[in-house]
Amino acid sequence: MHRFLFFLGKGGVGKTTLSASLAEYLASEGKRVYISSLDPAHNLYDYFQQPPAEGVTEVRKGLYIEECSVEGHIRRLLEETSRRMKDTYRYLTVLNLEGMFDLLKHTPGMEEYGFISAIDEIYRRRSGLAEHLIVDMPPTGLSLRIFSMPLTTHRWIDSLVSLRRKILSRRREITHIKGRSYFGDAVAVDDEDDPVLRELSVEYRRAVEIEGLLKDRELSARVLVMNYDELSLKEAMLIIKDLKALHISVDYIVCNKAGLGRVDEKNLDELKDLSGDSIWVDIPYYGDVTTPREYALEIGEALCSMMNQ
Amino acid sequence: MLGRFNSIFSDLMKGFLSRGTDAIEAELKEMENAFALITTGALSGMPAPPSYMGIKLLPYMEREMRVMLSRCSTLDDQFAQWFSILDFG
Repeated sequence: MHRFLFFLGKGGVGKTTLSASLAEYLASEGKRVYISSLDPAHNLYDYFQQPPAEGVTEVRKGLYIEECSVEGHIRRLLEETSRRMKDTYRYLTVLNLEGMFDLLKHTPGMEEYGFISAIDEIYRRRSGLAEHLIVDMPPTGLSLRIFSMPLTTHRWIDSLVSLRRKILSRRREITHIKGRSYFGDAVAVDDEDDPVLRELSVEYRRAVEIEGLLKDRELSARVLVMNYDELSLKEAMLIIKDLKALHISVDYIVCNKAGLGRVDEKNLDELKDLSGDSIWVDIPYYGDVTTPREYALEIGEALCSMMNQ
Repeated sequence: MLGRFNSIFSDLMKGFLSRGTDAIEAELKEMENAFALITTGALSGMPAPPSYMGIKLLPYMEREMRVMLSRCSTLDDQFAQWFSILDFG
């Protein structure tokens, strides 16, 4: 079974219920499991009937849960940047990027940054906690942007690094003739002294690592959850197509509440063709339950045996 | 005689080098301007790398920002700048 599992699918299909059920089952089998929700409309604490908390909570022996705060990651970026700017631009005595938080958090690209930073944190800081790390992803649109972001970022960085190297090379040519003092000490002329190039290298490594985590079939698996209804089926097709374009596979397809709805056989066949070698499993509809955890162990066991095939 | 020749030759070389660096410097400023525009473009609606990249690089781009702002103020006089570098007119 994979170390990292990403649950994705249309909003309301049961991603949280299924991912949390799998975590409960694995913990009941003596495994150490970490589950995190990246969905802005979190309900992981509600599922485990725990009061919301910041950071990681061990809800029972070997079972750790966390609701990631994307806003927290954006806020930390702005705080850190403000601090560095005050260090670099000495004449800046008043600069408060955090004061622009409400504006910047809605700037295109910032929310995705928060998600990528959260995944990075799970990868680097939570890996030691557990044998299996499960991520309950946000609804489709956002998930697809998260999956595409590392690839886009690392391509952009390639171009920026190339331009930056040309800039530094021109600065060296000028320094050669006019002397090092021409640009002053604050302006870098050598590649190894340039903080911009250094920052770009850090971001490049991070983007490549996250990209690897999101698509490496040895390290991680993507579990697509759907219901037998036309809307979630169409959205499942969209997810598979978009991920394919990014060379990312969907490893498992879980049809939740099987027996409850109906879909056009032709569309279902089309989805099966699209999904290629993905492994399918049906999770039956358990009827009205008082809490979503009532059948957690049965559901978790079914998912686990699918993943151990 | 030889000393005088050396001095004239040295002055001529300085002149050539200075003229040569003017062109490199203009090219450098164009690239620095482009770098600043690209990295902060997302904040102004241009196709650009993710906006957080611009924010992360901001603390280290004082020179590029100055170049970009000075380019903004001379945008309507680009020909004059290049003619001056190329010594036309």
